[in-house]
Amino acid sequence: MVRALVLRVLRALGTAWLIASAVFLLSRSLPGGGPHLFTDERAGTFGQQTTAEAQYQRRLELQTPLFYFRLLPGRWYGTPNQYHTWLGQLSRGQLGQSYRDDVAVTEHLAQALRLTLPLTVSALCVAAGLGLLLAQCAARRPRWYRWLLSAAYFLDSLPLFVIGMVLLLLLANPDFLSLLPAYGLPADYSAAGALSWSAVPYFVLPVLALTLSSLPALLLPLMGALREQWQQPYMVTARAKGVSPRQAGWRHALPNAAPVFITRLADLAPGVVAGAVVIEVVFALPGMGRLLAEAAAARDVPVLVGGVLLIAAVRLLAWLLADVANALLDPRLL
Amino acid sequence: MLRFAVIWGLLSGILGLTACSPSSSPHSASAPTVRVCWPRDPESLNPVTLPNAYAVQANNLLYQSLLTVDGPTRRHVPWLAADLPAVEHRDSLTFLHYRLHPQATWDNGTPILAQDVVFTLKVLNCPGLPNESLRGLVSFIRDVQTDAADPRRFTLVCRGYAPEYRDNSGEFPILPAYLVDPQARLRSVPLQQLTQADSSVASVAAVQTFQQEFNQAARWRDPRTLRGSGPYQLAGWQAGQQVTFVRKPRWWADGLKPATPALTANPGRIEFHVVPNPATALLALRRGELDVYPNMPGPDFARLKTSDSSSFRFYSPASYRVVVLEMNVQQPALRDARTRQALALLVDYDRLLRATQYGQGQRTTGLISPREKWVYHDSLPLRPYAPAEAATLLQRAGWQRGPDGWRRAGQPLTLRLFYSASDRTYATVALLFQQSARQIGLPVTLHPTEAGQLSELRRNGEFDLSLRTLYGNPFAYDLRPLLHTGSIGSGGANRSRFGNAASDRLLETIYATEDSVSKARLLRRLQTLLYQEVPFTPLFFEPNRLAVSRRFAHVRPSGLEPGYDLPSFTLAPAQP
Repeated sequence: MVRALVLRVLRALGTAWLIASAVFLLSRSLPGGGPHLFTDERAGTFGQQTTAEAQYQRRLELQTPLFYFRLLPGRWYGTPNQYHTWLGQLSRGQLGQSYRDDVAVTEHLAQALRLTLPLTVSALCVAAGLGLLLAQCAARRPRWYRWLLSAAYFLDSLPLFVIGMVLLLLLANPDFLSLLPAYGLPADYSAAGALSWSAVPYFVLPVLALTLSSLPALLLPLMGALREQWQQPYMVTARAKGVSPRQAGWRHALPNAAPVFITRLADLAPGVVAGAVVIEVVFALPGMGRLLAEAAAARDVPVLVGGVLLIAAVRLLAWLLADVANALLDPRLL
Repeated sequence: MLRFAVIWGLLSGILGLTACSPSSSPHSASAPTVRVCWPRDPESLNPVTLPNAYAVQANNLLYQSLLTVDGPTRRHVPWLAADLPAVEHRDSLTFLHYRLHPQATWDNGTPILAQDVVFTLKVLNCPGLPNESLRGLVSFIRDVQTDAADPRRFTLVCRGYAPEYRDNSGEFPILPAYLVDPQARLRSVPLQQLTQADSSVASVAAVQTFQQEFNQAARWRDPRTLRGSGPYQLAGWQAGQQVTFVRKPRWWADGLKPATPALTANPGRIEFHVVPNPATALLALRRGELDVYPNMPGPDFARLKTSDSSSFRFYSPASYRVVVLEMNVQQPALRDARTRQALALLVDYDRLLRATQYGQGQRTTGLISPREKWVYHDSLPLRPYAPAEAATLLQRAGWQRGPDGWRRAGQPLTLRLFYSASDRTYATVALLFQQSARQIGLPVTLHPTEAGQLSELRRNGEFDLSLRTLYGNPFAYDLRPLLHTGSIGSGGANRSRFGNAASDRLLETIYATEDSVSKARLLRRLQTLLYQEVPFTPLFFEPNRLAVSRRFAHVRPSGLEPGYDLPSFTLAPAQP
């Protein structure tokens, strides 16, 4: 068991490094991949633009070669290259500085996570809890099952943007119900750096939107798995022995259906750190999703690569934890 | 019953908390709070970086330059300077004589002197700082001569001469040396050493130390360092969320009489709320969580105008942003001017204005705004929508229409139209143009493209047609970055790749001409040339759509960015 775990951890680390390297190299080598001081909308002084652009590239240390060598035409550059520098920083636990404001990438990520984690973790917890409850109810009630199946497929077919806008128009609309704040956070939220009760109303709509969008992904497979378990002979035996339907559902059916649920949870886990860019845009929340989308648009490669590395690490960790949990539930799965 | 009570309790709690939330900021009668909607974060408030228009707007509350632009009158006016500079030409040099305002002081009470201007120019020319953009702007300033008798007088010594030196010389923020360089590292480094393109200056120990100190990112988020001679100080910056400024209790211009609009600062608190989604911003505005919504999308503006005119004032002055359909004149199919003229006739301009600007916006014959009557070439006719005439022009250019489209020497005429994928206006314009072209059998393929990739394609000339917005102003008529052959590729923003020796000479003559009559004549000649050669066809000047809560007066709307004068805002007298 331990050997298998160590092997999986090593494999996960190797995969994370490969993903980050691919993102780093691809994002800089593709046409238009690097940042530019001047854009089509922002021209420099006539005759000065090339010089200014060169100074800008030099300041960001982008004038050095990208990798150790070039293939066509072949040329060896050696260690003074951008990838080598980045790897060196990474080995010291640094992800570099943002091209846009020179702030450390780790600081950008930490600041965005301070908002994203409460948002996504609470949405995932609510969705998981609700998914478990509804699946248990639907597993032994055919009418509930049919109704929930339709509702879940309907929710699943709605784009997240639509869910967010509908909630906004229903519950933060002066023409309908103006119950909750339409956007943002209280002004003291980031300054405090911790959760405060004044922020709770601001989270209601985004959390609700994320919950509604992730609920079908958890509910549908669990509902199916639980229904299958309820048709197994061991459940009939349990019921014949006098076990109540609730006990049979939670103590007998759920452990056997749980691997499906755990695997789906592991699939959703990266979203916990990746944020939900759509919801962050709709509700004007400066979280991880917006940070990464804006970094990609501005070609802020250090922030982008740092974010991707973090998300990849969480995804791999989630898979690892799901494997362990499933193995504990059913040792045959290891 | 218990469940109901819990749910009700939670709901009451939420509603109670919402009621306590700061959605309705307090207003003081003399110093109101103004909440402005921004679609994005300023990214950096470092006064030498200024990466976007929002950073510039925020910086103008913190720092002052020698001159500023008065939006409604479209003129440069003195700000930190006492008057506009006196201009003197001697040999190959230009001397701009300035005097700083006699009452101008920093927040620590020390007067703002010529030495502060010298220090600022040192910072703007110092290598290794994120000042590349501003350094280009002041590159014509070679030295500063201070006056021993009057520490507020100084003369900027400039290379060569251009009429725009007067305005450009006053557009950089003056920085307080006592905050930016408290150790006086740059005092021993002469300005002339920094302005010379000498790479050895980067190895000077004082310069290196200053670089390290200046480039600490945390300094430029700290309200104690981000402090200039402007009327406001930074109160808070939650990145991607909100930037807040509060009025300084004592500002050097408070006692001046009469107070000019440039030296007025009425709001006690200014909050910029970052709301990227227009639908959310509109809801927030209607709920009273925002007071000012600039650059509103056309449909939202039209809807709000009909539904909420009792709560808001609406302004839509024509801006200096012109949307153009650009043509790559170096593509073989588009080398003939008649082909480009034909394409310009395939644009249904009036329909475009209705579809994208809801009837607002202003048509034009060229890059110059029709508002600038003294230089606008009004003798040129507005180009009509004339598909039949376009087909005739294509035939004159040698194209033959067959069952499979237009061909010349066996080569088909097919065009690729590129535009930014995130812009709804461009998408509408592209679709309408594609429909018009199809009417005469001309296939146009649409290529909505990510902005960064689009920039690269345009820079390399890998497009036939593209939609683009050009940003102008009523002061500078230096069109060389847009139209000079030296600006093709990475040297500038000439994406249509238009130009020849004659047009370059004309652009340089326009740049160097001071006399307004001659300048107007030359600019008309340029407009005629562009009208005939059609490196792009201008579609319309966009309006600056602005909605402001009726609680405020003295908005002073203008066509210049940001389109309103925040420091002038006052509370409107209560309606009876």
